[in-house]
Amino acid sequence: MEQHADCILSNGAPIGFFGEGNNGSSNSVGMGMQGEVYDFSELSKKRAGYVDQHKAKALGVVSTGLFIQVSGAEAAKFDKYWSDLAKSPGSFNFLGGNCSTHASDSFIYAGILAGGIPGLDTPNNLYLQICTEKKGKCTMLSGYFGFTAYGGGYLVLVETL
Amino acid sequence: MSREAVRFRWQWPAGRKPDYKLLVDVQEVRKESSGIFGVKKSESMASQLPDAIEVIGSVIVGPDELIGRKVILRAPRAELRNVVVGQAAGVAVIARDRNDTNICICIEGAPKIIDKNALRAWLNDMKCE
Repeated sequence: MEQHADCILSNGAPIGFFGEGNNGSSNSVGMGMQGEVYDFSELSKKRAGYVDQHKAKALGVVSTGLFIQVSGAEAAKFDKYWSDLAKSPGSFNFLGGNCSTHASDSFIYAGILAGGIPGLDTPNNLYLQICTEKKGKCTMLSGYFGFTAYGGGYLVLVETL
Repeated sequence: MSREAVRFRWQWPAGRKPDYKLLVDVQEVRKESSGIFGVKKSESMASQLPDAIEVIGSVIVGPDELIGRKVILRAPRAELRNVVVGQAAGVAVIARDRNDTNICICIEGAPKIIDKNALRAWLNDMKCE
């Protein structure tokens, strides 16, 4: 099963780290690509199935979200990590510099997780780590996700399966 | 000497209006290769599309510099609306977005009408959602 990990900021906005390449030879093995941070606007253009519930259904994109209880200070640092990364995303590598690596780094930077992902940096390993470390402080929902602007942020819509 | 095909990347419309539209004579619809080790299929690659399809054809209506040119349009299978080999299809294009150029935001098979003016009118009215 194909996997990818994005995050949701404290105001409900989706955000994630992707690799952009030029179809060169190193791209084909997933190394040395340019990293890019996609916010809601970029995700709407390039990953509509992640942020638009109707597209998620049409494309069969099922997401799993973990909603974690954190302090205001932790939430602010989490948001800052992604804001800083968007300004200077660096490179993307499948081993040690991928979507899960940066999602993990944002939790560590914010003090939400104590350490790196056990094993390879994969969405599933990060999911298992969060479920273990934040037991009793997180809620899991799985289904078709959508995000809609509301107030100064976004409402997260989930049609569970 | 034959000119290289013009390639169009896919993005969803996300509320944008196209910069221009093309009417393309569809010659082939094929599944895209997944690359070495299937890396191109990784969800974390910007270029990844769900069930990516390539639509190949030649431009009948559009900007002068593209008339008669071979084009390769990349899109998710689920977003191809009634595209049939041997018939025309309308294509909506965003000319530039950040570092990308030639971005296709929708592809729809044209009705079976021969009159070019009627096809132009249909193309003008074609909506991307």
